Amino acid sequence: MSKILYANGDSFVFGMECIDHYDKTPANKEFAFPKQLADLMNIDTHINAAYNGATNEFIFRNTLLDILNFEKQGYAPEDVFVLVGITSLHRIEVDANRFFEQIPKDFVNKKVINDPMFPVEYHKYGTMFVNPGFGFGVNHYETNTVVNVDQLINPWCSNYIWTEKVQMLSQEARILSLHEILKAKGYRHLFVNTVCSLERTKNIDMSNKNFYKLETDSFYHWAKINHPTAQRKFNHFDTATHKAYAEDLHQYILKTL
Amino acid sequence: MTKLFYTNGDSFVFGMECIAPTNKSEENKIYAFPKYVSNHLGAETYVNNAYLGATNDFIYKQTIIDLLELEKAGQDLSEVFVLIGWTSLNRIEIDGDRWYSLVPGAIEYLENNKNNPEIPAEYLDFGTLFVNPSSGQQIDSNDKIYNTADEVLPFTVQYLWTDIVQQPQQYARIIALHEFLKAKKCKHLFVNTVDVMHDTFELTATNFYNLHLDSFAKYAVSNYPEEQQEMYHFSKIPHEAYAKIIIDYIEQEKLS
Repeated sequence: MSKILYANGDSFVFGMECIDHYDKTPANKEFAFPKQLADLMNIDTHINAAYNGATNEFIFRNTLLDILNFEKQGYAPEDVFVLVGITSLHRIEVDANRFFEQIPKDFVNKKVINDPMFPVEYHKYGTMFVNPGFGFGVNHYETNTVVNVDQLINPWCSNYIWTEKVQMLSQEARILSLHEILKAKGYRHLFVNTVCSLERTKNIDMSNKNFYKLETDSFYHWAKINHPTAQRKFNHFDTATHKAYAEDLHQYILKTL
Repeated sequence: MTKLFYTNGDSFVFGMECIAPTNKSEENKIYAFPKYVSNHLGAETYVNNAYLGATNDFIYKQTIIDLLELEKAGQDLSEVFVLIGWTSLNRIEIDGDRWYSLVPGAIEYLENNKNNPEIPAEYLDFGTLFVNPSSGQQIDSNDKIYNTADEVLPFTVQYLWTDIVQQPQQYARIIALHEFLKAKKCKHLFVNTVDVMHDTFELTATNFYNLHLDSFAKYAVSNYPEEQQEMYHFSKIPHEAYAKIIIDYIEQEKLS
């Protein structure tokens, strides 16, 4: 039996808005589906390393490095259950200093940093996650300066890199390599989609039991159909929805893993 | 025993200009440093899947996909030796059609002239284009010059090609590919071709050859400056000499 449930992913794995509309605080993690799944599996320790807005590359990178750290700390692979929430392909991690340097430093340090929309990943990594739905921007009226991801980042990414041609093979390689590493090391694990299904893949065997409905479903899609009234203002879902999804995952794990 | 030798990387792994200045033909692969290593290991098959201008992400993903395909085809991966040449951090792969569509008539031309050697291999094989600060695509059409550098570099230099973004991603690729190859019992060695990694990242496995200190390009520039060709690559002489160093290291660390 596993002693730790380790989860990584985006805002859906984080549990954003479980507590209330707009709520992005880490307290949401206690209500998100990974925690609910840990409870159902009678796993005492639950580590949720998800970030709101995380990219697939970030999720892959930190899952791998966290797992290797567990090993260094002496945990046996069979003690850890790994749950990876795969997010949408159209996300990017940019150098946040290069974004904020365009406005006066004092204003950033005194005002912008306290904005509830401020990207928390900046504090630890110096970066900022950007996706088409993240309309973060800063207006500095005194210098008549406006910096906005919708103008500075999203158009270029949408045009040149947020296409399946560029993204799909990279994502397939991440999933396949992480799965092979976890399998070889003896970690029980499950990959789920959080935003959209991974259609049109050429290299992933979707019958693999560690890939939960990757070709056909996602947490968001499932929640929209089964709990439409539970959707929050920022398009996430309440605790009851997370609990119900965890129950589905638990049944799947009991039957197949 | 090594039955199959697999290598992936950028133009240095490809062996660009080994044959002659500006030469980009596939034949260069026979004179590139991985080929000498493959010969030394007695591999029956030499697979060099390097692309000119390849990004590190491309090298990573293509190696994973290729090896899983080989495994699916019945190849015992414990009989495979993998040599990876990691390239510079400041490179990107973009959607080729999105850029070519800026040039009137380009998409149609490409569709009808697939044998034109000027068309980048990555576009023909994957529909993408590799762009870095010193190379990309340029087309002169109706007195107007279209250049990937104009479209790509302002954004990538500002927001993506910084150590804060690139170093952690590259570190994860190195560790992940190493773990993957270990999981598959593939013998392997990683070298740099251009840049070196920050020493803040722990890269201590014997499978990593001087990733904090050295690269093929640095070695060749220091030791064979006269062998540098028109497009900043090298003749086969530094390739052969570098291969000898790699072979000695493989022997010393018992990696084969």
